[in-house]
Amino acid sequence: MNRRKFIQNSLTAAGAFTIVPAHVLGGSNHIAPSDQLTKAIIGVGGMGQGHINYPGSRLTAICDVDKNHLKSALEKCPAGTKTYSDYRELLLDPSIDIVHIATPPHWHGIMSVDAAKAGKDVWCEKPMTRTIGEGLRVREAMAQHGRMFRLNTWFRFADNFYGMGTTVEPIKKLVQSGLLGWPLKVTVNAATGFNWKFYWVGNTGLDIKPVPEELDYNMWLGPAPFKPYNPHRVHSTFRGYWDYDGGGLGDMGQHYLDPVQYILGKDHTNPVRVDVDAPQQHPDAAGTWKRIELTYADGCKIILDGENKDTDVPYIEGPNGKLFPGFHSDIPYLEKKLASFPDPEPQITDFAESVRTRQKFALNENNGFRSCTLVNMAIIAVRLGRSLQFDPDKCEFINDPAANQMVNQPMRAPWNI
Amino acid sequence: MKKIILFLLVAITFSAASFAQVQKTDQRTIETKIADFLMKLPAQNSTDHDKLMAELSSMGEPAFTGIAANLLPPGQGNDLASRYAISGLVKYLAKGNDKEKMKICAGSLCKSIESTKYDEVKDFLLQELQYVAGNESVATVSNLLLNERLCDPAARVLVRINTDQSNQALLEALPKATPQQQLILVEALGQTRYVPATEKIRELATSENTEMKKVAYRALAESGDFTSSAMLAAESRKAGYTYEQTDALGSYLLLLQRLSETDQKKLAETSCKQLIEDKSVPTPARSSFLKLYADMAGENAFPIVLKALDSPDKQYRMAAEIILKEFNSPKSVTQVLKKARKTKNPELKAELIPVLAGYNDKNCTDFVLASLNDKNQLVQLAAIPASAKSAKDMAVVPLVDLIKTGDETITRSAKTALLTIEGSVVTDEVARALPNSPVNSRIAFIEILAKRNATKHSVLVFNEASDADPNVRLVAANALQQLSTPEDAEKIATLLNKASGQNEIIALQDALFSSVKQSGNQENQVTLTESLMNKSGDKQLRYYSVFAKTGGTKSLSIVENAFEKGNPEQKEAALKALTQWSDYSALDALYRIGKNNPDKKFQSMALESYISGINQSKNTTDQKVLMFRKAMELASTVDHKKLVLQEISKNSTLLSLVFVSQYLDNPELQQTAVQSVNAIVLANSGLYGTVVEEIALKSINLNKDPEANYQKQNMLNHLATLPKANGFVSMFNGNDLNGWKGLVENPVARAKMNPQILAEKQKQADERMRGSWKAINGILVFEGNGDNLCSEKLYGDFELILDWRMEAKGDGGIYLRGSPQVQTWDTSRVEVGAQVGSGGLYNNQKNASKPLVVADNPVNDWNTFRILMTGEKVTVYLNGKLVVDNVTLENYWDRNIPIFPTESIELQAHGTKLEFRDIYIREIPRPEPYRVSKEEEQDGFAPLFNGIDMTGWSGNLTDYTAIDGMIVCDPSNHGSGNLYTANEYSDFILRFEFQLTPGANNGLGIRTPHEGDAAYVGMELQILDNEADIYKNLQPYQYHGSVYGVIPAKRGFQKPVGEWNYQEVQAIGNKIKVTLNGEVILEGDIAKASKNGTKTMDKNPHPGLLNKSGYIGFLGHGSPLKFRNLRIKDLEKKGK
Repeated sequence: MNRRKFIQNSLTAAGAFTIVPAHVLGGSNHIAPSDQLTKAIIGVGGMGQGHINYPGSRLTAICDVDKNHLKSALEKCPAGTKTYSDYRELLLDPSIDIVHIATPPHWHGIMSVDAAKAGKDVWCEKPMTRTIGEGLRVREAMAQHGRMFRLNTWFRFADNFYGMGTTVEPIKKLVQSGLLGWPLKVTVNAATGFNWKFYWVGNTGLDIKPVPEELDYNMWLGPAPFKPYNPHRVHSTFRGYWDYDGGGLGDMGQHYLDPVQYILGKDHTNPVRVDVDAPQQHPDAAGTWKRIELTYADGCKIILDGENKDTDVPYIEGPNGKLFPGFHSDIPYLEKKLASFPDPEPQITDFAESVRTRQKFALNENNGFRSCTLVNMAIIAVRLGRSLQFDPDKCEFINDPAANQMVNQPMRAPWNI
Repeated sequence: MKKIILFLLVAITFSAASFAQVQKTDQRTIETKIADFLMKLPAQNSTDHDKLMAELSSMGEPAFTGIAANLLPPGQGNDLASRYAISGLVKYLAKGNDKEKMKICAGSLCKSIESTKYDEVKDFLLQELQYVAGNESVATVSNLLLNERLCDPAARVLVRINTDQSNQALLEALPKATPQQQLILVEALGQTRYVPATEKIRELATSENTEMKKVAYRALAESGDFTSSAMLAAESRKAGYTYEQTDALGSYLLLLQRLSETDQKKLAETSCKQLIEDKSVPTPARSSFLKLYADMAGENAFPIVLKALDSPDKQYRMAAEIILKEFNSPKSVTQVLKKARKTKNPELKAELIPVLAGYNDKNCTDFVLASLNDKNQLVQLAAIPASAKSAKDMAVVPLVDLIKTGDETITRSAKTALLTIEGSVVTDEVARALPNSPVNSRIAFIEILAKRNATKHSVLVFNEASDADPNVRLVAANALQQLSTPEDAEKIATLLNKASGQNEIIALQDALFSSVKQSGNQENQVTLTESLMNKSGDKQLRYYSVFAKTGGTKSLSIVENAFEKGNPEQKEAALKALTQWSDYSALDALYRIGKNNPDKKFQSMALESYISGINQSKNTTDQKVLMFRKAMELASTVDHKKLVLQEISKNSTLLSLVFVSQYLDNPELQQTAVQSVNAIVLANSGLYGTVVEEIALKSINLNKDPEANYQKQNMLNHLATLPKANGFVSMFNGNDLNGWKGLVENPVARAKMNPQILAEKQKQADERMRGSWKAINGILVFEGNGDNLCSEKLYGDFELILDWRMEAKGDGGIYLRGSPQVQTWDTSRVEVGAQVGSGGLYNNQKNASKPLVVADNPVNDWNTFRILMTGEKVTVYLNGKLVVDNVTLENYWDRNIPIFPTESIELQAHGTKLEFRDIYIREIPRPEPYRVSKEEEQDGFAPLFNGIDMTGWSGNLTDYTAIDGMIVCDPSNHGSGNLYTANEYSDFILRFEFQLTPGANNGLGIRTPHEGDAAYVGMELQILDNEADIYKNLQPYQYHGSVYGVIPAKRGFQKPVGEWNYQEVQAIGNKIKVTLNGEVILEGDIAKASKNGTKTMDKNPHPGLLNKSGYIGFLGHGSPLKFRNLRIKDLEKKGK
């Protein structure tokens, strides 16, 4: 029995009540290697090589458009790992259950949708998609093809959350308890523990360099407009260019803001307004910004303070109380008070469990789309240098055709989503 | 209609008014306007950005095309500002508020696309054109569809236009295009959903090329034309309804979706239904069709969806279940419930439970509750969270009962579910069930009580804390941390004394502290803990960690004492407590243990804790740096050394930087040191100068981090923002006495000495110096015999940073400007008053002589001085604490005069051993009034700028300021207008120096009034960076030195940007002569050149050209540049 068949059987065999409890399935330690889910990684540069040893599944194939990446990654892979340079061929391999997408963001949307069509579940690096429109398509494709999707940022359910000195759970519980009042203002700056990585910027005025032998630059660019090659565009510095990512904001934004969205209970919606103060942006190279304010319909605000002006600012501030880094608060005996409130709803935080039980992962294409849209809204406002209004239901900006052109950007043939 | 007329009237009036205004004041040529504008880009904030783009928008087509003409292909020159301008303008206009301007802009871009010869420039313009293009752009753009490089960007523009005209252009290009271009064109036609292209695309879809098939199928689907459905259906079937590279199935699904939005909806529904019922279609595809069908048909799809639940394929069922969640009419709810009740398949039942729980229906909730007791665990596990969600309070008792069964899996899930239910009913029921339950259940119950902070049930938990089962005891001990009150201390202490497991002990220590800390102030807490400890017999060591959590000096002495005098077990517990000290006051004790304890394990533990604690402590930054350096001396492992380098880098000072830089050459520590250098330099823009720059550049070259590319660029950007002059330099090279000399008497005596005798005495003094001062291993040592060590260089105003240390009974000091002294002495020497501490201005009589606080480190430890001296005032920081606050230093050698303006810095010798290291100085420039040379003075020249302040000048004193002997024009101050002299001049010779920045533009106005454009109401001699790309299209009479618009000057004599240029301007009657860097670049007669003011080269009226007199001014505030050494010979005055 091949291992793909095993999965199908374990999911389909009616009357075979062999499904073990979720927590046992969850830990890879409890599953014999031959029964493990299989995965392939697309994009094995710095980030993708990190995925090789992620637990819960067994690596069987890798793909990259740079021969050097393939070579160095292969050394770290289990024996027998297959290599591809075109992910479309990899997707035709029926023995792969999960596709990890660790390419630059301009590929995330297309690859996620293609993987869903090919019947794969998807583990995708953040940011989810480079445009709001691509995010909508990923959401739609996962629903249409019934696939499981995990976006790879985890702070909403695991690890200490930057300067908070705690996981997100008690913060979520605090906000849910109403002790802080409503509406809330969240400030994301260095003082509250978040570094905006302003050195992830592009260089302006790049000159033209020959494409190195090992790189399929045309495939690296894929859907992005053709621009003459310069090494700063690709690999470790691609984040600085709008065509592929969005600077420090684009690359760290979802890490920082996805938990905020969850904490505020906004997984189903987006802000209705974004205000921005930024130096003028170069058309090609992402630059820095000063301040971005995202406002929800109910008055909740997220402040991205790029200048770190207010060093004593609370992380969350409401009419009845404040929460500071280290889970300090001006509410006396907060932790004791909080204890009597109910816990947030449990979530599935093991992707293998999600794949086996077909229950949505804690951070999936729906809430992931919303938190990615938070970031993309901010990026568009920064690029245009002006405040914008947004309709979270239609996922469109109001009265700003230029902003809406950035919601959906045409792709270079033959790529489409 | 009325509204429109009114609007037009307002618009006309407004634009006429503003036009008139522009006419009156702004006679710059379009080239100058463009150049002036580009200088302001990129805007530094969003408000400026908006204003600037509004300004550009009002400049109209000549400006748009003029700017676009500057564009160059990548690598062929700097066109940055022009790219910012076009991109900014396009996005500004694309907001769509001014359709007319948008059209003009699109027209200009098209014109520029046609006129440029570079494909890469065309590409850039096309990318921008997307945002503003309209039908008028179609002709220009469609010409590029057959260009290999530009087909894609051109097609994108047409997609954005998306009119019949643009779509027609795409279609017409198809037959002539190469296969690669056809892909692009078909994809574009797909995006515009252009139905007339269907037939042509269907033809191409039969191509052998997979990519073409894929793009063509997709385009056919996008256009939603039913005539393509047969083809896509056939291709999907051919592909076995699975994914392959042409994605026929995906396109077919899309087409059906599109059709369902048209009058072909029935066709789409029928096709879906057929495929759902066709068992040969693989289930993944069937579930996609099912979803699509449900989206189209709504609740009409219910029977088919319900039927899908009978499938043996879980994925197919899941597709149906997701759809069912949306169907919540009473009828469908009843049927789903019926299905769940009837099914014999527990897996399906488990799947349906969350669906039912979401319906908010009483019968469904009852079913979910009943399922808690299903005989199948899969069903139970589904029902547990579902019941908490839908039944809330009603679920509490059944969930508690489930926990009582003791099954591990069920218990875990039920516990989580209970915690999501609100209210005290949860804890009350749990408390009721707790006694007499099995072990696993009790553990879960205790955890729930703790998590909910149910103090009223704490008695139950205390009981469990003495249970026979160690797991129960541990969980209870952990719970007591939450549940204990101040009254419980004694009870917890009893448990602590009895406890056996290590984790149980730790948990009870935490619980005890949590109780003790509620018992009053720190003193009370310590007393209580001590009394409990004293009653604990041989379990005293279990209390040390409670002292560590409480903190304070009394606690510290108890635990330190235990470490020193205790048995080995107690020692270990005491050290552990010290390493966890809550207020970091145990650092000194840890350092001593790390340094002196014979036990290597203890040493290492103590040292590591010392290093990790420093940054948490409340010490000053300078003191922390000293502490890390002490730690480094003790560190023997690479890990500890790395830790020191990482932690010290959170303290950004010159000395921390210098310290970490020593490890850049150490192979094991190099990359850690590189990151530390990065962190230190970037965190503090007060760190600059050659020392800083050399270290930074060295670390850039060594950086091997995966992010090195970003880090290097970031560091270079940072360095570029730092001041270039007057940074920190080293006074002591660590190897010899270079830069130092011996002491000859005192400054007053030396001044009176015959130079020859002074030289002789200096030689002898230097000889003595070499005997008494030595450089040993980077430390400057004075052994106790000899005289002061004096800097060769004389210093005026400065910031001095150095480290010093002395032995017991030591005495010394730092002489500033050759005068005593910033005092250093052993504070134990109370007989001479040393208890006041070091750092004071010891010899002051009228002004403060004692330090503000005692900030000395113990003798034999290093101390850091930061001494700031400006004018007569001295400020001293000792180990980061302010000890002298801006106090006048009196002149010890002659108390009738103030301190000398400049003199040596001296290290005082006072008969005891002294050591110094890391001596750095930053000179602070002192503004000196500008004086003309003797020759020039005799010739009649006088300063026009005093070198210190802007006395004698008026106008824009915001952007123009006096800095370091220069007039600096800095546009970032956001001033407006020009700078003028307060006096008028008619005939004169003006000499000055100026320094340009790239693209700088200014002008020297002469014989001009304070108001109006000096180039016309007076005369302007252009000041301009002639070589900047943005000025390549100027008229000859617009370049540097020209009488603007009237007489052109010669080009080619400017120094490179950044160097000083020397210029002389002679204005005598109508004769104007400009000499630049020794070359006469202009010599002419303004009356002749203008036919007596009636006709000029630029054909503009220059009414003020022949003014007899007026002010001198600098005209412009948009570009940064500098002027110095301005002096003038006023010929009119001389004549009078």
